[in-house]
Amino acid sequence: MRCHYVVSAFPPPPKAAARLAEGGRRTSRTIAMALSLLVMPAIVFAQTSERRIELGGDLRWLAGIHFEDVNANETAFGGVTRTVFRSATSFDQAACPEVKAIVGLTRALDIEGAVAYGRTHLTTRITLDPEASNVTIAEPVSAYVLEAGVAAHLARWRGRRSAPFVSAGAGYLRQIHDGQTHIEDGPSWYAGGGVRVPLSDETARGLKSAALRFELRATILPGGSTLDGNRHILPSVIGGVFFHL
Amino acid sequence: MIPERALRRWCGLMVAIAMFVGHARPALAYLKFGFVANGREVTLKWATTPARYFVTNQGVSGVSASDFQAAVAQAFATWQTVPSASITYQFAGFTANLPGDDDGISTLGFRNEPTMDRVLASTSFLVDNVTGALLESDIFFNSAFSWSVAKDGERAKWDIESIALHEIGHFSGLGHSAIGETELMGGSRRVLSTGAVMFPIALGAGDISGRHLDADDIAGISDLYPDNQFNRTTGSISGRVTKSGRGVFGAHVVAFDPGNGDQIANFTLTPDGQFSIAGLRPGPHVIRVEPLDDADLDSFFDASEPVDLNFHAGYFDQLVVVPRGGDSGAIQIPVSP
Repeated sequence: MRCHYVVSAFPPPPKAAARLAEGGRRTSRTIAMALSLLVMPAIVFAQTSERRIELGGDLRWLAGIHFEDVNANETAFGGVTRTVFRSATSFDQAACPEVKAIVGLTRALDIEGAVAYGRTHLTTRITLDPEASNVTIAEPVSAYVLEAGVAAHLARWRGRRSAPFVSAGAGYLRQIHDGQTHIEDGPSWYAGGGVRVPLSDETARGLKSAALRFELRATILPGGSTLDGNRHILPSVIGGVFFHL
Repeated sequence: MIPERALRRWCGLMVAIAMFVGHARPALAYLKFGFVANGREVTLKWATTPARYFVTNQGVSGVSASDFQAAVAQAFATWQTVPSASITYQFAGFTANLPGDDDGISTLGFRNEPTMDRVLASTSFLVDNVTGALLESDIFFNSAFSWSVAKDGERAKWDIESIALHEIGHFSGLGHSAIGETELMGGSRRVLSTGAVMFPIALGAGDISGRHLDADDIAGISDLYPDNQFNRTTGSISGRVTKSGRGVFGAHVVAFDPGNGDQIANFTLTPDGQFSIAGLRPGPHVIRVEPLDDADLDSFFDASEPVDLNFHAGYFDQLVVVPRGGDSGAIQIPVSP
């Protein structure tokens, strides 16, 4: 059986190319067959002789979360529910600076880890209380995000300078009130995709290359780790610059 | 035998329109009966469990003694199955004794008290005046009213299980909750809704919605008889309510959980307006403060106590985040006259 390789998003350095030509192909072929079952369309798989390590900084815009509206209910005669007032609670959107490290496992597959920090507000709006005015109550909250995952480069749609990728992984989101009181924490999962745009091949000061990276991501907060116990999908936009060390 | 000077009888009365608490003064804690002994706050509770109870072997029209026993056993089971509370109860048998007798056994049963035309049922205690330990607790159901144990309730008849659930809260040491709404009609109160079984006004004859506990009741019984995890997995909010810089006594402070809608409450119980609400789920809470205007004051306080009703209901302007196993730290909530 033959496995067709498509054009690599990241041309291998000379050493890696030589290894591919010699004996690395069998291994790469095996990996490609396995991963192509997971990530479509076909992507390039090639082993490198040295690990590609990148370090960079992002700015992540995290969409807000609107939790399910919750009423203050009481029970009237006959078991009828009577609402005393209503509440609507949300985490406001946040811009989170982020540090991210990327390690290239193969030409097309990276593992990556990120730490992000952001400031936001937890806001509750109270309405329909017959004894008190409507009120909006907000508290500042710090959000910490730890994530780790994989990114696969999609060579089929590679442009002249840009290379698309898809990503997926798991994380941990922790939200802390200003008084250092924990509000919510729990696991998260994410899936996304974006594009990577190399800026240069060689730079000074030992940095081999730099690239811009933009990503749209959906972070899934499972029920049980959110305020209302429901699952929430949190869109985010991430953009930053990375340097190949 | 316990010396007479060490005993005190307390009464909680559930009435058709209002509920009264005899000499009870809320302790400086969550919805619990208590008193000051030798300068120390003492909380009423059973020192040993299971709390054993007998049932009078006399029924009333439509409710046999065994029907009655089955209904109150279900109410006891409802309290006992609160996951975060450790209290247990045990039915010890039928007895010819009547509730209210100082006979050393806790008895539930009917008594005919036609002159108590607003009293559906009543709980009385015999307590150790030094330790606060409950020694005996009797509940009588007034047979001057019509009662029912029907699964779906009966029109114009009071549901034994619902009323028993309230009284067993007292039997266990809980005071009244003010989570509920009423309106005044012709000089008497009509209950609109309740947010706790321990609200002092029953919804009405034929109603069976009082057979389940609310968050406030669960927090109360768990705070009084916590299991191993309760104090580690819940938290509290404490602080002061002030008006023009001075403490407000008797303000009703409700902690509302915007995540699940739970309402758990207490009162400011000192002249400088201090309150504490325990048994809260960790996370943010909305704090609502209101005057005690939905029930008779004597359902909660002695007539001599200066309960302040002269302020407007409102909300604390911050979300208060409850830590797991800890307290929010003192907050100060100003209210407007």
